[in-house]
Amino acid sequence: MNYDSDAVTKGFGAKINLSLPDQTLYLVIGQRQAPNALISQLNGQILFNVPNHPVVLALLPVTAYFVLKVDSRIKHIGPVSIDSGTFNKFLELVKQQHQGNNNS
Amino acid sequence: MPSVGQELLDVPLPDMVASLAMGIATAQAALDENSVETAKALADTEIELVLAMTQTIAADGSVTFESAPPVEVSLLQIGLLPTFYQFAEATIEVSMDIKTTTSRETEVGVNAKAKVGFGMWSASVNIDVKHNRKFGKEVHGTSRMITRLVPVPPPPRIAPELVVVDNRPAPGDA
Repeated sequence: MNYDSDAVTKGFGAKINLSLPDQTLYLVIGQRQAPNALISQLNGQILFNVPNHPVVLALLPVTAYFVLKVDSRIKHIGPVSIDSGTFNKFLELVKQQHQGNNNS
Repeated sequence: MPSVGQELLDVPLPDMVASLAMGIATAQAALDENSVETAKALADTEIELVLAMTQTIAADGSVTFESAPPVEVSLLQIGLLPTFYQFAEATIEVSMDIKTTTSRETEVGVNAKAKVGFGMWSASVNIDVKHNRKFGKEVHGTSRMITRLVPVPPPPRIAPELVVVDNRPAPGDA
């Protein structure tokens, strides 16, 4: 993909080529409300709305990341990854705890 | 006229390398700062999770469900981690195509005049020599900068380690 970063780049006739995966998992935090509409407009896919928080986990193309990064309605956006080992370990521990409560 | 070697020496390669290095350092700092901000947001965002349910089938066949008490955990604790990136490689390529041409033209013009008058005469010869030396130089240059950015594992201590101390008696101890 080609990404024209700014006027300086264009002024020098330079081309910036970014070879990045099509979509990446991002944590997107809205200033006041969850940015679902913004993400949908930018062809993003919302995976999880965090309850009671303006926080969304979404799959976004890199171009959308650059757009949202400077959007005043977005408090923060950053790439994240899921550590399946930690998640499964936590899940297992909570299940064990629950089974223990039921047995006691 | 500057030589081709001088042209090559005039390429500000040290400046380009220094600029690239500083640019990478600035970008790396910005990336790290963003990842740290993401880590803070993941740690501050807590959700209540019900991660287990018990299905009980009574003797009369009725089914009841009991959910485990909700557990409040941060997104960081359940395995969401900020992605850290690192510049793994930086390359500068400079290519120059220099073409120099020199041509020399010499033009000689001779003009002679003579006059004869009453008791006097005069003569003059004018010679004009023109030398033209033309220098031509064409320089085409292109530069290419390539950086490779790779995701790296987060710092090992970024996520809190979940330790469970189980003090319940073993089933046979009661």
